[in-house]
Amino acid sequence: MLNQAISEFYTETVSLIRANLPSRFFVMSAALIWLAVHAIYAHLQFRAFEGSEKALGWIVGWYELSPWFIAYIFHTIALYTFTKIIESKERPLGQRIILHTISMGLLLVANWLSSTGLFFVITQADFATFIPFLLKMLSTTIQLDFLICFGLLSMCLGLCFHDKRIQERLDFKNLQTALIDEQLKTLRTQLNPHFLFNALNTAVSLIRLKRDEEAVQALAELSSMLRKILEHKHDTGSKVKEEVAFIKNYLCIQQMRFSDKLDVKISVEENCLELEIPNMLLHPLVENAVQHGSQLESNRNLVDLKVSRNEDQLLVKLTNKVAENDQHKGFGIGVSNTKDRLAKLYKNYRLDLSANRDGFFETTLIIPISDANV
Amino acid sequence: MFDILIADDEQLARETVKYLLAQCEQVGKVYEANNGKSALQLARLYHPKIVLLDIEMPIVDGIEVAEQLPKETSIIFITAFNHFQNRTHSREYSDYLLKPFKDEEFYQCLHKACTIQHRLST
Repeated sequence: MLNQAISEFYTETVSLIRANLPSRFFVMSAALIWLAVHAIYAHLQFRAFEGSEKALGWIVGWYELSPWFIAYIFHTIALYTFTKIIESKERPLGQRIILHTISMGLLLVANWLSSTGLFFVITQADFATFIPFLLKMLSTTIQLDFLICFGLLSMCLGLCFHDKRIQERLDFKNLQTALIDEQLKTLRTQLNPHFLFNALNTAVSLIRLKRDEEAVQALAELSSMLRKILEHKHDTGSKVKEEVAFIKNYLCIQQMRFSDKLDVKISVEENCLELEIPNMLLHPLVENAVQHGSQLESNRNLVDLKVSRNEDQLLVKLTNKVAENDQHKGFGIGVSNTKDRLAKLYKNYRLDLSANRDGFFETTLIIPISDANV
Repeated sequence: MFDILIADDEQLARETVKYLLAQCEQVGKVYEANNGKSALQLARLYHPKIVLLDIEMPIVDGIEVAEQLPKETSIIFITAFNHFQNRTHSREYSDYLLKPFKDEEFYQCLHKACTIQHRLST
């Protein structure tokens, strides 16, 4: 039991440290800076003792000083890792100060022990004098060590805050991209550009063929559709009667295009007309049905839309014919967008799209009336 | 005079193209198909020199029809949205019209196809 807890703690700690290790660039920079300081310090000491009794060669002096500077390279890397771990979570200021102090203290002790130990190893000194040597050394360098530690901590904190700012900016940018994507999706749900050009072409064709009244009707239907889209583009909700009117506009244009192929039947119960539903929720389903219907060889294919109400649920049933070897594999972007929207808006809803017997396709949508988030 | 095949699933679009063709002297017989499959059958039977092809059609789409037509046939692709534009460039004698198009644009395309067919036949 205890073993398991220890191993779990170990695994978690290792993964936390791994996740917060500094970049290779930071490690290289820390090593290079400390090696430079090391060389300067060795040179200053060489100059100071030059000609005196204590004089050592430049290389020997550099070699004997190396334990302290090597220890500072690791110290810097470890301090940055600890600072990142402490700053990675939202904590109260007091807690952060305590944690930074503990990490700084622990690292300083580790630094003293390891650098002195390394010095004893490279100079082959007697370890029996370790403690007196350490205490004597501390009495002269402790203030400087604390100062360096504070300096390092300030730098690490600065870097952490800088990283955080960059991450925040990146998150904001990603959020903006996601928002634009969402707006584009909504726009595509509202009006398929392919349909818009086809509708305009229908009007142009009717004018060419001198069927002026029908051309006027096609343009009027298209105008109503555009008006609903442009005037209500920021609305999240819309009344069933408005949605059905939009669908009627759409089907009217499609019937003009595929007059020999499309039969339309729409029935909406009176008590549903004033209900509020998400804007442009039904249109993509109808568009999908018409696309399947227009792919048929046979004539007069029925698209049947029924909207009814069952206590606190709105029922939408759409039936249309599909060809056996339907070219429209899967569902269009409109249907997948509708699925995404439903999942975001409702906890309980049902959307079934299934091929029925006799080559008919049925789309059933059931959404709650009362707890709609619109 | 060149025989022409119109393939479009939209009745209204076929009527419009027929109307525009009726005003052109170089046009011979005009055949009509409302899907890709009938278009191919008619093409095999009557060997039209120029084919006006809608891209989005049931059963066999315009691009697939074009792939099965003889390479010397001139094809004018007609589409409402230009995401197919790049795919239509692989044929030698092909052109495309974006719906809705002006009369001049239609006749320009047709005239170009007729010139090519005239050159090929002499």
